[in-house]
Amino acid sequence: MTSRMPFVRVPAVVAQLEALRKSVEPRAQRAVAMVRARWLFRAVQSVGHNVAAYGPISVHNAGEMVLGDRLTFVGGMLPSSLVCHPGARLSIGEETQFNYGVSLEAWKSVSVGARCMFASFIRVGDRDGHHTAPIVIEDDVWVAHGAIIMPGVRVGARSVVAAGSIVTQDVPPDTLAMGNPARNMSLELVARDTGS
Amino acid sequence: MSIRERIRTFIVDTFFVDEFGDDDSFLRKGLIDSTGMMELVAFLEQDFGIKLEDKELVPENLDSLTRVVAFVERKQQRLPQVG
Repeated sequence: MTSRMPFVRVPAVVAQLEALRKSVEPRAQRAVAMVRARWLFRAVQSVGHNVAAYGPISVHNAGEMVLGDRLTFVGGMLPSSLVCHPGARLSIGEETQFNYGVSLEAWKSVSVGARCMFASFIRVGDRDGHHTAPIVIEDDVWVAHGAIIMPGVRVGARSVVAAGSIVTQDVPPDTLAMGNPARNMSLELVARDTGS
Repeated sequence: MSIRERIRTFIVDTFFVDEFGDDDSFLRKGLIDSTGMMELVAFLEQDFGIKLEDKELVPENLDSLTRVVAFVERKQQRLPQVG
């Protein structure tokens, strides 16, 4: 009977191993993602600490690209793309997160603030074939799936761009931009917590 | 049909809400979400022939039936707006 005692504790050991795996796995994945980011962003002049790429990213830097600390690029069905043309500047603030398929392209200047959230399939480019004008996205902005930010647009801090919106004019802070072309409405009108 | 009745009918038919008070907050009562608010704005512009500026899309103008009615009446009389 005593020889069978160890088997009684097997489930407990399995549970412990499972818990250990659950705690270690995300950190291991983050570590791998950080190594991948270091490789992908090898042509970038300034890359912050703890920048992680969980999937492939297409990076073309012929200008000045500045990436802040603790960025996250999520992998998915299509790689994100960061393009900075000669003489242009592309900067991203700290702790900003990108889902897959995001396209950032700077011919003159694209500036993304800190703690922003970019959903999948977003296009931010400062040239549309007619003219080139810098784009500024301030801190804590949330851009939802499939939105397009047009040249010359400034999106104010803490604002939200709704899914599929085409933003052709400036968005004030604490505002929801929605539609094509996007219209701006106060976040207080539609969100219980504006985050401000 | 009065302005109030027209807007109330639109809200009931479009957002499938039953009973709500004239002063109930659309947001806090969960009657209209952000997409719905865009529909309401489009309805007001088409049916009342007014143009809403982006800066007028604030709770003071649009977050209850009473406020919307007052806003539309002010707008039709071209009085100064909140916001």
